[in-house]
Amino acid sequence: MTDSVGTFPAVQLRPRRGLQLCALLLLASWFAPGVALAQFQNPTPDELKMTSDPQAPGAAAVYLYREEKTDDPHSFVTIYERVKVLTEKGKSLATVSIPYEKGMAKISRIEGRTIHADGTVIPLTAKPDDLVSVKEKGFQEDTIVFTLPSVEVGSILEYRLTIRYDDNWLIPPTWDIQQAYYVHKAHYEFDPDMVGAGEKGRLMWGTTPAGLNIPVVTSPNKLTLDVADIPATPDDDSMPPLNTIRERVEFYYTSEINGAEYWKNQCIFWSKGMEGFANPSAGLKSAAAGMIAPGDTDEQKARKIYDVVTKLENTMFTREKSKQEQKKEKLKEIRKAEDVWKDQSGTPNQIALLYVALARAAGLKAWPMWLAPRDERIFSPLHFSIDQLSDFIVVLEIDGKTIYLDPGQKVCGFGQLAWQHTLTGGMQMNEGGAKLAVTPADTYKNNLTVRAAELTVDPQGGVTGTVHIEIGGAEAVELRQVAIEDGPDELKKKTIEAVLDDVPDGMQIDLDHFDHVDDYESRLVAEFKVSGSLGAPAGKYFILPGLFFETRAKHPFVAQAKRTTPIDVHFPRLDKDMVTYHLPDGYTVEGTPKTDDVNWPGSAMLKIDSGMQNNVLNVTRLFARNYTLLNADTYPALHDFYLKLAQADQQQIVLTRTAAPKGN
Amino acid sequence: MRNCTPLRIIAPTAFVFMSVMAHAAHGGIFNHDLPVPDWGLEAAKTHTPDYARDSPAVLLSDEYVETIDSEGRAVERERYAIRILQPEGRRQAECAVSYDVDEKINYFREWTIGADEKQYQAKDTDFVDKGDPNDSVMLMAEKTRIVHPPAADPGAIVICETEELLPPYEQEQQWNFQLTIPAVYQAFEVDLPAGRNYSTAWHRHEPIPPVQVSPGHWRWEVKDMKALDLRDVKATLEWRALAARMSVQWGMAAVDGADNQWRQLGLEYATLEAHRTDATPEITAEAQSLAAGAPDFYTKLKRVTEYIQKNVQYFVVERGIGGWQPHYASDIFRNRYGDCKDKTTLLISMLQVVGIHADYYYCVITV
Repeated sequence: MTDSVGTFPAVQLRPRRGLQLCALLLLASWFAPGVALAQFQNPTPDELKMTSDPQAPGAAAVYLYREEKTDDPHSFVTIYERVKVLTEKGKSLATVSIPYEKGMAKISRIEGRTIHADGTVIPLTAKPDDLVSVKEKGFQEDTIVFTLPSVEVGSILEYRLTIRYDDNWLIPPTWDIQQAYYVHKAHYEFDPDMVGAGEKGRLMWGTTPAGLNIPVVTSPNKLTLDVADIPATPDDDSMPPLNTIRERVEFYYTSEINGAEYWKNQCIFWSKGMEGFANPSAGLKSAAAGMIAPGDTDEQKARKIYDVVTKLENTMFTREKSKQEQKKEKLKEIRKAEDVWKDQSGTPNQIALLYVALARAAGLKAWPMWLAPRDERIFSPLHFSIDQLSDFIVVLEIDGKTIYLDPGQKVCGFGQLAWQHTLTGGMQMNEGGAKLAVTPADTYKNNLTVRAAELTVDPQGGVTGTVHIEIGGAEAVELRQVAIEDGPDELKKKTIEAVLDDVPDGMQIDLDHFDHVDDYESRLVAEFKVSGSLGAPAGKYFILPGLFFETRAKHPFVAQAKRTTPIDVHFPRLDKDMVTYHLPDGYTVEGTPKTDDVNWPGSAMLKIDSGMQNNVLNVTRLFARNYTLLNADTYPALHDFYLKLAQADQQQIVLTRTAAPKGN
Repeated sequence: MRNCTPLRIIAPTAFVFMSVMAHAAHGGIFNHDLPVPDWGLEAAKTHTPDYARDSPAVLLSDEYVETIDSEGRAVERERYAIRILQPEGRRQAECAVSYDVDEKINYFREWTIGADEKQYQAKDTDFVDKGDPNDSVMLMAEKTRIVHPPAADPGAIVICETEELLPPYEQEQQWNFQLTIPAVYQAFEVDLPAGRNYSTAWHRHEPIPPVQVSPGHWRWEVKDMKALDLRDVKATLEWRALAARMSVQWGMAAVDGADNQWRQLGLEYATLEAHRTDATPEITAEAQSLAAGAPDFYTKLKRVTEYIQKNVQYFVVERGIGGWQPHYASDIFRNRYGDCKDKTTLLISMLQVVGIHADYYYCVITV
C-alpha cells in the first residue's frame, strides 16, 4: 500500500510573499481571524426536515458541510462544521473537544448554535471549558470542550472556531477527508508559508489510500480541495491502522526535490549515525569474546550473543532511569552501544543496536534496520518523512542467509520478529550504506498453537479432565510480555480467559501450572484442570459439542458479507486441536464431527477428523491461515472460507443410549 | 464526542530551548532537595510481613491527618511508604493526588530509598498532571497529579507526603483502609477546633475506638490489614462494596446514630438543591402544554417523564461543587443536557408545574 504524492514548488510563491508582508502591516486587523469569519449558513428546508439520509443508511449523524482553512503565514486555522443529528447516538456530536498544546496555540472565537427541525435557533451561550489533559514540566496539553445547547434528534449543529498558533511554527495541515460520519460537502484551504519554509523549502503532500485521486487544486498562493459525498471512516474487524486507509491529504515542508533524493540523503545520514553508535569498540570486542568460544560457528556466535543481550534490562519492561539516578549511579548519557553494555540496560532500540555492535565485534555481518511498526502505520516511501520510522531490528547475514532478529522485544526467539515488525518497511543498513527495504512475512508454521483436552464424561453429562495448551510464535511473545510487565497473575488471567472464551458454557478451568515461561526458544505451555457439565442426556440421545475448543469461538468475517477495506490479521497461524472424550458406557456414537478439507487454496484450510474406539472418541481439528495482509478484493473468498469454517465448527457429537447407564 | 486533530508542530530548536529554560526556574510546590524525613526512614525499617510476601507491593505505613478550621474546612495531610516487592508493584507505588477547582495542593513530595539504599527525591520532571477531558458523556474539571518515583524497582521504598486544602463543602472523609495490597500500619487523625464534633460510620469492619491525642484531636489505628483480592471470586459484589472503610463527618452530619446522620445529610443536600427546581415561564409553558388534556395523574407523569428522557441529553458537567449540586432547572431546560441530578431537577420542576409533587432520591448505584 502506498500513497500518491504532490508537490508545490516554492519558487512560484516566493515573489508573492514579499507583497504579502507589506500588505500585512497595513491590513493586520483585516486578517484577524475573528473579523474574517463569515455568517452561519441558513439551513435549507430539506436539511431541516431530513430524518434519515439515503446516502448513509442508519447513520447516527451526517456532516452537511465541513471546512478547514489553514493560513500558515498568519498562523491560524479556522474550522467550521454543520452536522445533522439523525439518531439519539448522534446527539453526542453536540459535545466538541479540541486538544491543543498550551502556550503554543490558542483557541478563540468559538461560535455555535443548534437549529431544531422546526427552524428554532438556540445559540451557544455557555463558556467553553479549557481542561488540562496532561501537564508536566515544559509541556501542557489542554482540551477545549463545549456542548452545543438543546440538541434533539433532527437538530442541525453548527459551530466555527479559530486556532491561532505561535508565529515561530510552521504547521502544514493534514486534511482528514474521511470522518466518522458521512460528509456531504467539504472545503479545504491551505495557504503555505514558503518564506518560513526556507530558501530551499518546498511543499509536498501525500494522499491515502493508495490509488485514490484526491484533486488538490493549486493556485499561485493557495491549495484548495472541494469534495462531496465522502463515506464514513470504516470500522471493520482486522483493519490496518486507520491512518493508512482513511482518505486524507498530509502536507509537509521539505528541502528535497524528489523522493529518491530524499531517501538517498536520509540513508547516508542515518547510516553514518548508526556506524558511530554501533561501533564495535575494543570494550565490546572483549565483551563479545567472553560470550563465544573459539570453535563456534557464526550461528552459534549469533545465538550466544543474542541470549546475553536479551537478558539485559530492557527499559520497555521496567522503566527508564531519570537523570537524577543516572547522575547518582555515575551513568553516562547513552551515546553509543558501549554505554548500553556498561549500563547493562537500555531501551529496545538501544539493545538492538548493542546487538549489532557485539555481533560485529564477534566478526559477524550485522546491520540495523529502522522501520515503521505495522500496528501504528504502514511505511510509505512516497511520504518523505523519517517520522514514520521508530523501531530497530537487526539483520544478520550468515552463510549467505539473511536472518532477522528482534532483540529489543526481549522475548522473541532467535530468528523471530514481533508481528509488528514483519511485512513493514524502513531503512536497512548494508555493506554499501543503507537502502529502503521491507521485512519478510512470518509463516504459519512459526505460529503454532496446540490445544489438547483429555475429558471423561459421566452419564449425567458431567465432565472432568485436563487441558494442555502450547503457544508459540507471535501469541507467545505477547503473553510473555504480559508476564514481564504485569506479573504472573495477569498471565494466568489472560490465559484462562482465552480458554474460557471458546469452550462450552459451564466449564470450570483452573490453571495447574505454566512451563517455559522464560524459555523463549520453546513454546509456552499451560496445563489446566477442567470440570463442569456438557449438558444432560435427553431421552435416548446425548449431545456433546463436537469441537470442544471452538464451541463459543467468535469467527471473524462471517457476519459481514462485503468489505472495502484491506485486512490485517497481524500474523499467520496454525492451530492443532486434539480432544479425547472418554464416554460413559451404554452409548454408541451416531454422529461425529468430520469435514472434508475446507480449503482456500494457498491461503487457509480447515480439517476436522474423528474416530471412536472402545468408548474413547478422538476429535482433531487442524486450522491454518497463511496470510497476513489481504486486499479488499480477496474478501469474498475470505468470507466464504469463514462461513464454511463457522459451520464446520458447530458440529456436534450425537450419542445414542443402547443400554441403561450403570447406577440407574 | 468529536476530537479535532491536535496540532502537529514543527518547532525551531531555539523556541523549544526557550520554553524549557522558562520552566526551569519554576520551583513550584515540589520543595526540592529535602532529605528523606524521619517518619519515612522509620517506616522504611518495617519488615515485610509473611502475609505480604506474594504481593506486588506492601504498604508499610500510611497516616492521614485532617485538620479542620472553624468553618469546617479541612487540610488533609497524608504520609505513606510503600515497599515494591515485584516489578508489577511499581504501579502501586505511583503516588497520586486528585484535585478539583476548589482544592489546592499545598505540597507534594516524594522520596525513594532504592534497593541499594541510595536516596532520591522526585524532581519537577517526575510529576505530571492528568485530566480526562475526552469522556463522551462527562466533562470533569478534576485532575490527578501523579509522581513517577525515581529508582522505583523491586526492593525500593517509595515515600510520599502530600498536603491538600479540601473544598469548603467537603465536611466528611472516607478512610479506605483495606486496599488491593496488604498494609502493615495505618492511622487516621481528625483535629477539630473547639466546639466542633465528629461522628464515624464503619463498613465491613468492627468500629475501632479512637485515642485522644489532644483536646479535639482523635486518632484511629489499623494494623496488618490484608488485601482484598477478588480476582478468583466469581459473581461477587463490586470491590468497593466489600472493602473495609470508615467515614468521618465533621459538618452537619456529625451527630450520633446512623438515622440522625442520614437525616442531617439530607438537610445538607436540601440546601444545595434550594431553588434549583424553580420553574421559569418557559418551563411552565412546556409542562402545561405536555399536561394539556391529560385525563389522569399517570398520563401527566408519563408525558413529562418521557419529555425529559427524550429531550434532555445525559451529559455530566462536573466542576467543584457541581459534582454535588444540580444546575438550575432553567439552565437545564435551555441547554437540554445534564447529569442524573440535573435531569431529576428539571423533572421535579415540570412535575410541580402540573401539580405533581416530587422529591430528590439520592442513591449510589456502584456499591
